[in-house]
Amino acid sequence: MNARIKMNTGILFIFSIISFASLLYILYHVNSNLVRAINIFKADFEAIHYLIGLAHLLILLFHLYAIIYIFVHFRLFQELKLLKTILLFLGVISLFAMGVEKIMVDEIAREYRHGSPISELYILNFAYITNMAFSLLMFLFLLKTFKLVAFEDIRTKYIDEKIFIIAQYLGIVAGITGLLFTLHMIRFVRKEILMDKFWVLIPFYIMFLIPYALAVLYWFGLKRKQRINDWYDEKQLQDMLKSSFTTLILSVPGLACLLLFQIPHSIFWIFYYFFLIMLLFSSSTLYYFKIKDTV
Amino acid sequence: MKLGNTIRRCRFDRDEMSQQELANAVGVTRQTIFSIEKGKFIPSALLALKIARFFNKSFEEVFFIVDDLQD
Repeated sequence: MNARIKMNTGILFIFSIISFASLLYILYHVNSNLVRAINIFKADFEAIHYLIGLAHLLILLFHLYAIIYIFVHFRLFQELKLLKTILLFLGVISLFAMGVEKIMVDEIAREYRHGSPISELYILNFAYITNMAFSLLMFLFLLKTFKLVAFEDIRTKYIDEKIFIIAQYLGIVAGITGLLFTLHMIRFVRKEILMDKFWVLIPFYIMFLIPYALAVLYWFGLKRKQRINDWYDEKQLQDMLKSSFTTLILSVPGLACLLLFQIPHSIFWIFYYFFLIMLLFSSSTLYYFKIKDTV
Repeated sequence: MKLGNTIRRCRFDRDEMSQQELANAVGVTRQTIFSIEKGKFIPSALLALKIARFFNKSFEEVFFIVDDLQD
């Protein structure tokens, strides 16, 4: 186990440097020659566009790898608790910021082609700076982990419930984000646009789910060799049973709230319902498992 | 009527072993041990027996019924 965590720490350490350098490269081109960097007029692709595309791919992979690494760290180490909590939060925000970057690039290109003033560049820069902050903090975190790995025998510290708890927190974040996004779309975006192009929203919904999906996949990865009966202990099963019932009850008034809005397309019921259930189930599971007994 | 227990005392007698160590030994989460100790969660017979066996004690030495009047 020590060798594996050391190897992953080393790879991610190099990855964090590459990610930071990639961000510097993108920021330099976006701020020195925006038209060329984001290929506003959809001209032929040049080497710079492939490099910028590759840089984005590397940054995305770094984020996914780093988030899974933080789960592993939570499971194996009790140390650096505050730093990794901040990192997990920042990692999720930074991952969402990558979606924002895509929207802003499209929006800037559209405004530029129509000759309108470009107002989104500072948002784009802010999103890249969020990515940079995550890469930098991850770099520092990995430096501290190197020291930790050198002195500790990791096998004695298996704490599976951390992943269970983290998955609930990420479920809450995904639930809230998905719900707010759906309500924003229903309330503020023109009905005609949503009716015709609701499918363009699906990548955003997938993006909201990525951190939760990573936690759940990691959890299943850990449990794959165990019998299904051993996946959860008896208190966890009882708490999930209670939270299922709570979710069932609360989903009725939760869904009734949707009657306050005019739904532009029936598909929005599904999005709303899915994220509502996710929010209710994750928050009630967390409440029954962790909070109820401590108060 | 509640299920009381002496798990805290048993852990203390075992060189102040942590809840996590006990949880690992009987195959549950730390949170479950915490809730049992506080009397907020009633374990199954199997888990209760596992805990008692871990401390080399009989079931009644670790778990007991707390009547409402005592409560």
